[in-house]
Amino acid sequence: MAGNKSIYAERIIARARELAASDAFAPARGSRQSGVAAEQAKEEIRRAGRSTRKLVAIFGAASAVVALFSLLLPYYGVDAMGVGGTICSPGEVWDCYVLWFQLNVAPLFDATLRNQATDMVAAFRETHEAGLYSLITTRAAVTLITAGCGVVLALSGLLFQTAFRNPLAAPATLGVSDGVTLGCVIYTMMGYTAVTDAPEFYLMLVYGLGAAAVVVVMGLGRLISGGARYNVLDMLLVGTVICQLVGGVNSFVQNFVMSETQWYSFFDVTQAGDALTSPIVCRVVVGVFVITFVPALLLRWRLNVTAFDDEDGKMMGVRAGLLRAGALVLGSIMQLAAIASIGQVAMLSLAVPFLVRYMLPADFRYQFTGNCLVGSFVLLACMCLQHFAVMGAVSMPVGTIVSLFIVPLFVWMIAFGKGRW
Amino acid sequence: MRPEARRVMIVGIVCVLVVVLSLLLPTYVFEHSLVNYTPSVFFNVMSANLDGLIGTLTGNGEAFESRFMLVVMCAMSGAALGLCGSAYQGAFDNPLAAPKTLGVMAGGALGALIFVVLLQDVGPQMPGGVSTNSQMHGWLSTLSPFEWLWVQYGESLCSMAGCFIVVGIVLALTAILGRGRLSNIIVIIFGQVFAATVTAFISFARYYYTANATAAGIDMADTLRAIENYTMMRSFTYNDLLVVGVPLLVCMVVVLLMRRRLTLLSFGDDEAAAMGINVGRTRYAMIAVCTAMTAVAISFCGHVAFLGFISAHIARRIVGPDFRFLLPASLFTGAGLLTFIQYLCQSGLPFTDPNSAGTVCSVVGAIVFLGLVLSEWGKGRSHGWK
Repeated sequence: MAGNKSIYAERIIARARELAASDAFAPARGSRQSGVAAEQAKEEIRRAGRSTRKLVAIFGAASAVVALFSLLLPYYGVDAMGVGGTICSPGEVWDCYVLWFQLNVAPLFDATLRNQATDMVAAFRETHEAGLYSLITTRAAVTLITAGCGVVLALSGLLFQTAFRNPLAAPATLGVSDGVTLGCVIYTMMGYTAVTDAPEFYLMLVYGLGAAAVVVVMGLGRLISGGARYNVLDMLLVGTVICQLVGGVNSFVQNFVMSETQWYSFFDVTQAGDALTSPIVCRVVVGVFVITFVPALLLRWRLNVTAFDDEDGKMMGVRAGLLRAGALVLGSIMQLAAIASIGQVAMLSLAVPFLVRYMLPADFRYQFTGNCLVGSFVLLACMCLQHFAVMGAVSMPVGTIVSLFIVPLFVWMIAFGKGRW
Repeated sequence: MRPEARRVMIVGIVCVLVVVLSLLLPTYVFEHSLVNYTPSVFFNVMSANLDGLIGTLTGNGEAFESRFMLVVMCAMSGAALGLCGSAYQGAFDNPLAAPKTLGVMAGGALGALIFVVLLQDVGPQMPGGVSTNSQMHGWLSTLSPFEWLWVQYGESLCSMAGCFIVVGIVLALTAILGRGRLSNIIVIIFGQVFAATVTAFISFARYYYTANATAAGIDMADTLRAIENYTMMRSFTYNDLLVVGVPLLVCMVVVLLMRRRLTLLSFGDDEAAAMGINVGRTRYAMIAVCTAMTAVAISFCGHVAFLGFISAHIARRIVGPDFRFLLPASLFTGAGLLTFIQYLCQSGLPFTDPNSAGTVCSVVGAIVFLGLVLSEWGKGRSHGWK
């Protein structure tokens, strides 16, 4: 892939050192040239490091600001369904966090505190409004999960684009989001109107069908490739076709089988306003975050190699096929968890890796950091915006806001980007 | 004769067979008990249909006309979509590029939504336009040509305008802001992002308007739902055939004339430029023509753009990557598939009815493609893209 500047630079340096060491009697002109090349390469690496640090600082700060804003939304009187929620002061928000700390963390160090829990809660109730505590702690959970989902979505997009070397290979290509939508369709057709009605069943359906779609696509792709060599193109084609198949069934059920009320609840289930915070959903999502993030972190330098030819990779001791399959599985699980808990925002994983690729050098290690920060920033910002975007009694789904947020970013990138690909 | 040419001929013959059979075979077979369909009944229905067909072709039979028009329209739209699929893949040199990549479908749905919500003045009316019975003809003849077009084809025209506007925005933004130094990858990605935005907006608008209309006591749910799945099965007339057929034919001829350039483009931008082709201009011309074709086809025949993608890949697996043979082959594949789907929608099988043409298209296309792919599995050879 063009533009792997820093890797090429490292190669050039290595080559220059080799030349300098092995060939002491080389003509002066040649050695000067390789010296210049090494200097240039070093300068390039330095520049890449600088731009990365700058971007990390900018988007890290932006993420922090947005996260703080998201935590303080009750302070601005904004509730889950738009303006007009409970208004509370930052002091009260702080009190809630102190209480949470006293109830959940402090007893781990001082067991006697556990006995005073009921007293503390009673004291808190006397001085504060009812429902404040759950409002604030839910807010915190929503903020955390949203940030996590942003990170995970952006990373899954990055993994897919790196593994497939095809910009059209969004995680949706393997059928994850269509599988999840099918799960939601079945869930609403069974008569449930919200996720909280039967969260365990919802999780089983959504995760099961999402995973099934991926397994079917990967299995068929493998079959068609003849088993000898993993043909990525075949798998992408099969994925697109299966997506269309499942999507066709979904749209048929939505248009001709569902009643109007069922369609409303389907819309509410798929386009969740906030991240879901029922305990079991939270637990599963956090578990998936940890399980997938750590391997992705460990694999990040190895994935650089897949940018080269498979032959090069073999020489460097990396089995590209296995690595690619691993990246696909990781990316699919990440996507699944994110979609299941915040609704259809799959576009984030298509767009954010591209934005980051425009801003940072193509080295996977830089891209990894950049994607984490930009992804969480964009999703958190959209979640905050969503609370203000209310038309009538209907709050705009977060997927729509993500789209409206990303298009201007894209236009800006096309207009002012440096054309670094 | 080269083997590819022979394969193209075979595909063409199969396509013609499908078209003829779908004209002759009895419709809504599965709605009645199959016991009633003894071979003699079958034969009688087919010979009656043949008489009707001959009557229509010689100009002295009204009864069979609508069915004939429907099949011809489906065959033409299918041919156009199949051609588009191959041409898009060639122009972008990407196997996953499809007519919907640049947002044609999203634009069509947006246009239809705008028509239904803002411009439609005759109350909630089922998509498919004003019915064309004799009374209406009397009233229509008093209108000026433009009014006539608007009354007759309002929704389709809006949908077409939506297609052109969305694709135009994508191309204009990437061409003007990118100042000519953008690779086709960025065009594709921006197209997808923009299409996803439009789709998200449509789905929200649908929810919003349905909620409001229900609150006001108006039942708009069916109308708004139909936007995403509007039917291709209406009664077509000679006028429809003129309005749809002429642009489609012109565009198809243009694409077929550019087949050698497409072959050269598939060698990569640099090689194509070295062989004397203006890569950017060829690509943009191709996109413009194909967008026009897809827009006309989906605005008048329903959301069946997936057909373009699928028939291009099927044709590629049959005749190989040379565009001189690939384009005609995908043309025939598309025409045959859409005609078959049309017949299936009228066959009375469960879950198939004219309104669900989009779904039937997805399912049939996927099954045909997977079947083709799996039949090659035992041979142990994997087809590359080129």
